[in-house]
Amino acid sequence: MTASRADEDSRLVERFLEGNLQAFNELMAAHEDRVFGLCLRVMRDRELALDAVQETFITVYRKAGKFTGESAFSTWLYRVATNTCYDQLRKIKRHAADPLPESTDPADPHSDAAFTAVELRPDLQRALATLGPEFHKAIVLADMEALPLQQVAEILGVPVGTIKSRVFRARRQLADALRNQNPDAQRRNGDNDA
Amino acid sequence: MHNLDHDLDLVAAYAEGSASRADAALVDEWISTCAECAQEFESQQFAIDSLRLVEPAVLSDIERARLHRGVREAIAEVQLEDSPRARPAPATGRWLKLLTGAAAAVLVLVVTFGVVLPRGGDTTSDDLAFKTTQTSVAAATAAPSATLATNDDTMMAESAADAAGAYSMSAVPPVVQLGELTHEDLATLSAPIENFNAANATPLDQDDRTREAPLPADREAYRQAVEQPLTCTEEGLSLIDGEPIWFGIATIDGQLIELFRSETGLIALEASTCVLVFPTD
Repeated sequence: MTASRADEDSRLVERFLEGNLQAFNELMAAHEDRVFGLCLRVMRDRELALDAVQETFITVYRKAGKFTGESAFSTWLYRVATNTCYDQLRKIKRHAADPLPESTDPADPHSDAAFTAVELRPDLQRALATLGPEFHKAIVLADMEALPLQQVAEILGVPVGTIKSRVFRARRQLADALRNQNPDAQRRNGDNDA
Repeated sequence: MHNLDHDLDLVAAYAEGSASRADAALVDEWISTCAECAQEFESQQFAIDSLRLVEPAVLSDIERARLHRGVREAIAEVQLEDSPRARPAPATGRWLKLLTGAAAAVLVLVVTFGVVLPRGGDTTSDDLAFKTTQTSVAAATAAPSATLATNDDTMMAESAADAAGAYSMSAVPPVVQLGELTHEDLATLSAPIENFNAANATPLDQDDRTREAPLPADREAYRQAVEQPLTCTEEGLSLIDGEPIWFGIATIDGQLIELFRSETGLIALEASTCVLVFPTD
């Protein structure tokens, strides 16, 4: 998140709070892809992710007055998105109970050729599913969405040291899960250790 | 063995490729002398590399349009719920909305855009033109809101439009915001356009047309006349089958959209991005 983007967000939030709906539309246009990416990593299904993104922006519309400006708007937005996604996951009891479908994250049949379906490797999907919610959130935000650790800490409302630890341990757990599924990776890693 | 838990930052930074040269040398030394350290580093790097292979997610045009529609509809609901004048009408609300949508569609067609048909002769697609003045567009864009509004709310909007010198509001029912369409309006508009005839429009005489100039004969002329950001490219326009005919502009939730008539009916694109607004599926 660049300073200019953050500044522009602040101006847009201010205009929106003054009643300018176009400002809200601009905020949404600026962040919808990023929020969708985040939700897709969490929900693992484009339809569910789309629902979560919609719910996120509706929440933003309704609760923008509660945004204090102490953090960047994007940080607040991602916090809303993260909470929305995990709330929805809890509601449908999908995260822990349901097995992963054989093929997740289907491509939109209406999309053009340039559109990337963003399918995760099945082994990576399974490995991510082994992570606990707190580890999962940390690694999605830090490694998959490439957000700075400080921002991840603000989004999740925990100290940055806690995030560092969670990311570190989540990577370790993820690597173990991947190796268990992939003998080649296990062997390759073993060779490197030797 | 080295206590790695105390140096998570260094190991992580090295695995991410962001460690300084000095720190990298330090971690290298740990790795070379400590098997557990090496395994920890490998795990970090393996996970990071795996995750970095993931492409960033992007909404497709269809998904984006669906998202925008969903949020717009939800916001309209929120605005109605939050209105202090909102009155519960559980039995008739849906019908009122449908009727209002139909009324808005016809009125938007006849009054808002000031549909102009040539006198006499057959009505062909090339004959269709719209009297859309700069002031009416500006007023509509400046007053984003839900299509449905209470009488008092609409009167306020009317006053604002009148103050801008946009148009006379006398013939407009109080529940319609001029120039502001919803997806329901678009859906309702699409059918009459297919069978467009004089009964759908209010002809103006030549004097009126002269007085209301510039009358946009086509998209480019309109763009030049009012300097609106109609920046949709040929690629965006290729979403439309056949040879689309520029139909005019409107706004939805304050966003400028361009309307085109095609063989399949009405097509609406966001004016600056070409994102398909209607039809959405």
